[in-house]
Amino acid sequence: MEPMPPPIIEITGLALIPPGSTSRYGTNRLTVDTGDVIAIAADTPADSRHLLRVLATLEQPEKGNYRFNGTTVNLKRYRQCLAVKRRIGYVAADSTMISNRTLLENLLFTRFYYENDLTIDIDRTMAALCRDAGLFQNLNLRPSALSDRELLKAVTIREMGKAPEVMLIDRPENFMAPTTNNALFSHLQHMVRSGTAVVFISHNSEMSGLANRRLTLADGRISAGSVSRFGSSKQVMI
Amino acid sequence: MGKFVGALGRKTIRSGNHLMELCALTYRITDIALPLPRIGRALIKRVIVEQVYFTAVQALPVIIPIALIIGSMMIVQFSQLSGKVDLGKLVVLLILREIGPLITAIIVILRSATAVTIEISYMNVLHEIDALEMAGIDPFHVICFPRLVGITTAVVSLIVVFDLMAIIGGYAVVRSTTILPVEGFFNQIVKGVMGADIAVGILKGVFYGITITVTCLYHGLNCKHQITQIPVATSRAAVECLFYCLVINIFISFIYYV
Repeated sequence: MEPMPPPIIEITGLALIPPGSTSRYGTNRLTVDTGDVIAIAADTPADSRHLLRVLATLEQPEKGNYRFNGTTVNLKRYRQCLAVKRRIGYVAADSTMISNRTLLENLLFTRFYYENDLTIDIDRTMAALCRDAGLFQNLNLRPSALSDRELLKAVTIREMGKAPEVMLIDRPENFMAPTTNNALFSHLQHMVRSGTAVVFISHNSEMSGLANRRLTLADGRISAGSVSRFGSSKQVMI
Repeated sequence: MGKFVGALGRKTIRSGNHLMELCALTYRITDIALPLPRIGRALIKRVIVEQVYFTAVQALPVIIPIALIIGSMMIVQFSQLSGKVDLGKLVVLLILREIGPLITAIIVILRSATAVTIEISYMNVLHEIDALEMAGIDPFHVICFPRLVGITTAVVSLIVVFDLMAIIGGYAVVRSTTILPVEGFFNQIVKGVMGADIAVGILKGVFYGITITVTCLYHGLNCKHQITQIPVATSRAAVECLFYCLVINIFISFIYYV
């Protein structure tokens, strides 16, 4: 029997104090496993967003030991965090694009950097996603020319292009309909089938129903529970 | 009296800490980027070229007329003393050693230092730096280092342009528009210029470039949360850059010429 792979993200002894809040949340162990689809729920949206930023290593928790794929990450070591961030897709209201680059350059920025080549073009999957999201004709425009919705779609495509191990998404219902004829959603389903975990915050019951686990921030605790009302989200997503 | 000494002490410690932070930032930028890693080289080179274009090439229409005006003004004034002083030597002393580097630094501060501070502040406040980090890219690598190299190269190049335009252009303007006695001007310059004069001008340019960039990056990177911090940071960065450039100017001049 093969040993179980370590969780993609594991935080032990976690304590969170969201900025500007007096609430303190804690849990002994929080995990995000391969293929998980997790919905975060909290009393206030800011608290769930803070947890999302902690998972993305964009914020440091008050306390906690962060492990990524079984390797302990020292959140105070900037370069170590960068290597982890690269493997996390983060789509939220505060995830933006570089404003003085075109949309195309933004989508290819990571590849420009890591492949050391400025002549590369977007691959077929990304082109298809852009076409479906109505962004293909805007590829040579600056991000400021896009609407908020288009910008979030573009950020999602950019993050999906990283082939992340976990996607963290804040309110996906704002830019993605949970239907199979939506290319972004279909691609996300495909990613989940390939083992990518998805953690999201949603106020939309249809979207929340896709989760197979739920993280609830309430009464000072972060409690994890499986979702039974809508069935296994793995069944829904796959 | 005790309160005054206390306040003075606190101010001194704060200024000392601030200087140390600027030095630490300079060290951090150069430490991660030298030797330049293979990864990201093409992108970094492109950002450097863009920065040189914005800071040097786009500044030419500003710096050339200023150099011509200052060069002709000085030649006109000094030619009044023709026969009493060595005109070429005087022009070299003032333009190559002092005025050229300093005016160039002031123009770069007015045009580019403020722009860089605003750009970096906006990137920070609007989470564009976070976006780079989420791509696994060190912002010091693709933002700070190219600006350090680009602005420093631009300042040195602009100093050379300013000196040439002030001396040659200034002479041409005076010669073609006045009847002032400026014969033998170039011979006097050739005799007056020493290798050290050119080296000191370039050295000042290098120090100005590093100081201007690091000061602007420091203030830009310190704007984290509110957009209203940006004008304050920009103003502080510009004033600090000017002050540091003046201090560096006097410091290098003292070392070489006193």
